[in-house]
Amino acid sequence: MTTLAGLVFRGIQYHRRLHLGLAAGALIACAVLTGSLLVGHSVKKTLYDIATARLGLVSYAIDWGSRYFDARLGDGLRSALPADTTGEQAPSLTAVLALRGVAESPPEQGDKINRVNHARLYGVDEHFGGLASLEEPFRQPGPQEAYLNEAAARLLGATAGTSIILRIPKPSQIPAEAPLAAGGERDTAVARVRVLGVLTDTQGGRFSLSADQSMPVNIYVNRDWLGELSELPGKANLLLSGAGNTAEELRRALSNCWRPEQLGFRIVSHPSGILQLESERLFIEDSVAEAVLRTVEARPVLTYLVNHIGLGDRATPYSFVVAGAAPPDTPEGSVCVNQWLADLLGAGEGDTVSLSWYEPLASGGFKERRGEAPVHKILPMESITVERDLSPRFPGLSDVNSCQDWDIGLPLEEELLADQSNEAYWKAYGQTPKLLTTFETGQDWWGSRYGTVTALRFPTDAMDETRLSAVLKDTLDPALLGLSFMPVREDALEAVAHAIDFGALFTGMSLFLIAAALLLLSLLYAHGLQQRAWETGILLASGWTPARVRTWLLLESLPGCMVGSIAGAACGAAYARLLLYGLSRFWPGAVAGTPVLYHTAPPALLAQGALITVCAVFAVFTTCALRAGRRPIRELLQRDFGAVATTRKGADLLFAALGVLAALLAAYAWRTAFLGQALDLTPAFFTSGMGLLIMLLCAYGLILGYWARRAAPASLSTAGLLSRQLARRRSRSLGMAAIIGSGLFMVQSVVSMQAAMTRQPEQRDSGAGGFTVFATTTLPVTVEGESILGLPKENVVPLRVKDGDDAGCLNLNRAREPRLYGVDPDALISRNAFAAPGAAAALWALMTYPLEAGVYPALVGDADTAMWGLQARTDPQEGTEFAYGDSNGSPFTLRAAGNLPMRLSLFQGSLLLSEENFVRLFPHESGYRAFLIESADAAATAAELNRTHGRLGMEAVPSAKRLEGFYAVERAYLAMFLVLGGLGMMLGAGGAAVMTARGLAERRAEFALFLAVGFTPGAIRRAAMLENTGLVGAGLFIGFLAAAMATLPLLLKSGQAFDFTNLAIILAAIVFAYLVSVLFVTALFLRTIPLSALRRE
Amino acid sequence: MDHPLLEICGVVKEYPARPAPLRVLDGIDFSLDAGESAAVVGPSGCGKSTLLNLMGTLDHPDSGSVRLLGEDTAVMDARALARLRNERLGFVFQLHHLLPQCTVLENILIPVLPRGRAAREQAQERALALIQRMGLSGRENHRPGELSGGECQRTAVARALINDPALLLADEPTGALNEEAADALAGLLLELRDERHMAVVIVTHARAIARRFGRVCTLNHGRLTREE
Repeated sequence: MTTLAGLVFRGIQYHRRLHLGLAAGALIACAVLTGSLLVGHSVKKTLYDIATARLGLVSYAIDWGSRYFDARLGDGLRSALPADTTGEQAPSLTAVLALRGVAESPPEQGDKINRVNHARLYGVDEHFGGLASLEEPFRQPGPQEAYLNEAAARLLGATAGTSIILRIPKPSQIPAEAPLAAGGERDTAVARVRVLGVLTDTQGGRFSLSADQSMPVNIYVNRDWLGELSELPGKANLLLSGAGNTAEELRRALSNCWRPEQLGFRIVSHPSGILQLESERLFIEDSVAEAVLRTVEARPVLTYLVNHIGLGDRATPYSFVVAGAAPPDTPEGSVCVNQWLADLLGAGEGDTVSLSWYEPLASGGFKERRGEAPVHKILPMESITVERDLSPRFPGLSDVNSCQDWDIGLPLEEELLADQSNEAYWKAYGQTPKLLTTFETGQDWWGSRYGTVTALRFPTDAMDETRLSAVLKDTLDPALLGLSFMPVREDALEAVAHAIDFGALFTGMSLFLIAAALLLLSLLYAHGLQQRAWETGILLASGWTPARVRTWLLLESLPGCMVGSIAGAACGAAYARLLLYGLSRFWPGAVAGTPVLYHTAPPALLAQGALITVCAVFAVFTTCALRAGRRPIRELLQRDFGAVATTRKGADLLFAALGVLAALLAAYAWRTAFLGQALDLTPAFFTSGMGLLIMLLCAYGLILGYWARRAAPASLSTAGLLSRQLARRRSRSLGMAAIIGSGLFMVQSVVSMQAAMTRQPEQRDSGAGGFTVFATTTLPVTVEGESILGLPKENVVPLRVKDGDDAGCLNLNRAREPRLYGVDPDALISRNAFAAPGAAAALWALMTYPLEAGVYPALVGDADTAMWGLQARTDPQEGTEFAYGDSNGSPFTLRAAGNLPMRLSLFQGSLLLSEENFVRLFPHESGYRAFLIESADAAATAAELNRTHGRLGMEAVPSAKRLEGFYAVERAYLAMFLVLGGLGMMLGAGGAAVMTARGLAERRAEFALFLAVGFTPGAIRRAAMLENTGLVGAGLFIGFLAAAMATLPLLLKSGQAFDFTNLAIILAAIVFAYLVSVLFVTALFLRTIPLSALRRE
Repeated sequence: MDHPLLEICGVVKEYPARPAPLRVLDGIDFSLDAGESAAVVGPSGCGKSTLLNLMGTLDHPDSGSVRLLGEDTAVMDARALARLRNERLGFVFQLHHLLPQCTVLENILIPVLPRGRAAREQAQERALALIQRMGLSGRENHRPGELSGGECQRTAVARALINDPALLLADEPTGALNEEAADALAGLLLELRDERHMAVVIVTHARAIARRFGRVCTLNHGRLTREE
């Protein structure tokens, strides 16, 4: 041994027990850290597996929502695509008809009918199985056959060979709330289907385009059969493509192969020489009309139904009018009437007729508007027969014989429908318009969010059907209509990549445990250094430089630390499995019930955990070695560490100043918590808590200083000796109190923070906004009359819904397009809902904040969604922006202008948009699918709604229950933190034991002296136990007091019931662990007190 | 060489205490030339060890100067002081302070470790010679736990001599030894002084041993006086 390495080796060999202890500490820290990272890795891998399972081989998709295209577009596109780049397989592409419906188990299967309200019905063709499944493709189901996914099979209690009942919506191509859409309640088809089999996740059972890990309830049926049943024959609304072609290839192929009729356009040729372009959706999208009008000469036409046309005391009800078809010389603001009307009204050219018509409101209702216009011309009936032929077909109107049979989405009066002259006109002329005007005038009067053009007319001398079709293809990019392939796989993987980082989460949760392990390690190491201080002294005396001595010390500790870390990285797998077991068994809420499977750790992750631990441990060692090296050589050689540390007055002044500052801070936070308006008391809680903790620690420091300086004779008693011992090393006593106190404060705070978020939903400033029931329906509900869902209108606030990603805590993926609710701000302002008293107007007014064109203000559903789910900044000017596409596929931006102030609300994971903006942007999202309901008996109301509106796919729950579901996630986090924090505190008890042993070792001679002067060993042990109990007790008391005082406003102000049982158990366990460890070490250490310890004196 | 090997002028050293600091050395003057030896005696707690620590640069005076080999130690940085201790000074303490994990030979070589490989290889020979000189032959691979108190102390002396110091400082080296061993150790130190022409300062309670070192200085109430 003539080298440093040799000396290091000998040191490790000789002090192997110390190094073993250090290695054990490093092992614990590394196992916890690596295990936490490994949980994160497993969650991420699980999410990745789910994302790949839900998409199968799908890479690109077009989701046309509630608009439908001809399913043959898929076939055309398939043939138009080039072979994939590998050339090995044919391009994979399929068109799917996706609807939401209700599924039930048939009554004969048992007394209880299992019902799934939000079942996703996928009408699929023979290509779907190959794209959606990662395994052997499943075959296309035939009519009245279905595949179920595992969730559907479980919920319905169905297996292969059994039957289920499907309630299938019959969506209209025309938005349900559009003025001339078919009226009445939307029909549903009911069909019994035989279950062919149950698809596993990898067989395509999990198929979904939502960036969400939750299991959908999927039912796969024959597309053509579903189309027939839902009255959308041959239609589809999803196009799915595999990875065989690029997005650009798909776009190009779609541009080449689409035909206008496939996207719902009709070209009608009239013998009079007019070619008319119409849309199955009634209105031609403005973007389409504008594009066509820019390219070719055409005449836009708008057909509407007015309530009344009158002159003087004569009038006719419910008349078709056309804008854009009046003779070219008709001045703006003037009208032409047909002969029949002129006769009826006695109108002549120049007379002014009055009109009234319905204008659709954002809320789904209508407002009557009135206008007047001079009559420019009287048109003979035969001159406008062409208008009758070219009039759009309105379901519920065009095909009935009598006006009284009209069934359209307008509030028509029975009495007026029975008007004899109008009935005669209907029978003679049908939809022939009674009044015609210029397009601009009609657009101004009758244009709405649903559109301003019902047809485009082209003269046949310049255009024929083929040419028009070609022009449309050349002019229109399908993207204008929202037909753009989205890179869904890329988006899904992106969502997974930015998912909640469970590695960081668990590392944070385990921080206490890691800190406790490092603390234990540092104490062990410092203790070891102290025991070997004379070795350091002799080396320094022999001419070693302090740096060289430190190097020696660190080199000696490095192997143990590395071995411990490497072993810890391996043990991390066990810790990760333990946490995953905890997640599945005790805290499923934390991962929204997703079964997270253990995934083998990649070597890089293990290396990362080990490296971080080595660095952390080495930093701890370096700090200790630096501190040890600061002692004078003389002290090191004399092994004299028992000297009384001086308590400096300067330190007292610092303690006093810091204490006063902390007290002021705590007082301010307390005042804010008690008197302020803030709904979230968390910041005030932590500010006051930390302030109190620092204040109490400073006070303790001052007391220790006072004890240390007290005159000796006066304090020479057992109690005096005890206090003198505590004060002997103020920094050590204070440090121990700070560590124990902070730990206890954190643990106790977490228990206390288990807020009763779900209580008092009837209060307006709660997360339920005063609405005790929250209901959703699968099928949209239109609001007519004075009741909604059979409940008085004043007790219900209906919400529009645009499905999207859940940005709440139940979705582990990063939401890309959060779900939107269309909300009437006035309805909530008038109730002062979801805000502190008097604050509702300012809050909800943010939804109508004027912003630049193309940007709309939105409110984030609650504070937690803003902070965690979306990580969004909320500000009308500088808030985070979210890119969306409207019903026509045009991009627009939502800006997070604000958020509901409570941490948790019924709107968690969503954005709120004013209803006015919602209907403007999403006119095709008809009706309401969510409802806020005020009810004194929430449970009964919810049950009644579920019973009576099952057909709509009603799911009504008491608001408290919905909030409870959201809060389950936070509750699970808190529970996890509590367990891991508690474990950390327990490990900290080990640290306290080491510190106790260290203190006792320093004072061996002192105890021997007591023995020599006549104290019994028992008395000495008792005194030492009392002293060490005081040392630990001070920390526990300070931590408890700070947390208790900080919690007080929370308890008193929120009025929430608080379960003290958990807190009592945790506190008792911590106190027990600390006291037992300290007392046990004391008893063990002072089992025998050798008088030989005096010899060195 | 026109300056003494060790020269202490007006050294004052105080320790913090209440109500007033405790002055243990109060203007000490002392000098020693190569080949000379001196013993410092005095009652317990009078500051003998403190004085020795100051001579060996293990501590700093509050005022006054300590010059070693003509250089003022106050202006030397920690590295220079370490080098000085390593190359020119040797220490022997009341407790031998041998590293329990190392053998006799290894303990003797500890002061050589900061030096280069060549120096370490040369030192090996010197260490074996010292072992023989100290009467520890056959014990070179034994650990401190396997040695007697006298053997441990002789090992500590060998360690102090390994770098051929100009000044050997011994703080009660015989304090933990029986009379016979103590006497033998004192004789050994004097022999080494003569053989190596090095200066030796010994702090001891034993007057008889002190007298063998020639100059005897008494430290009392912070003052150092030479006994005639």
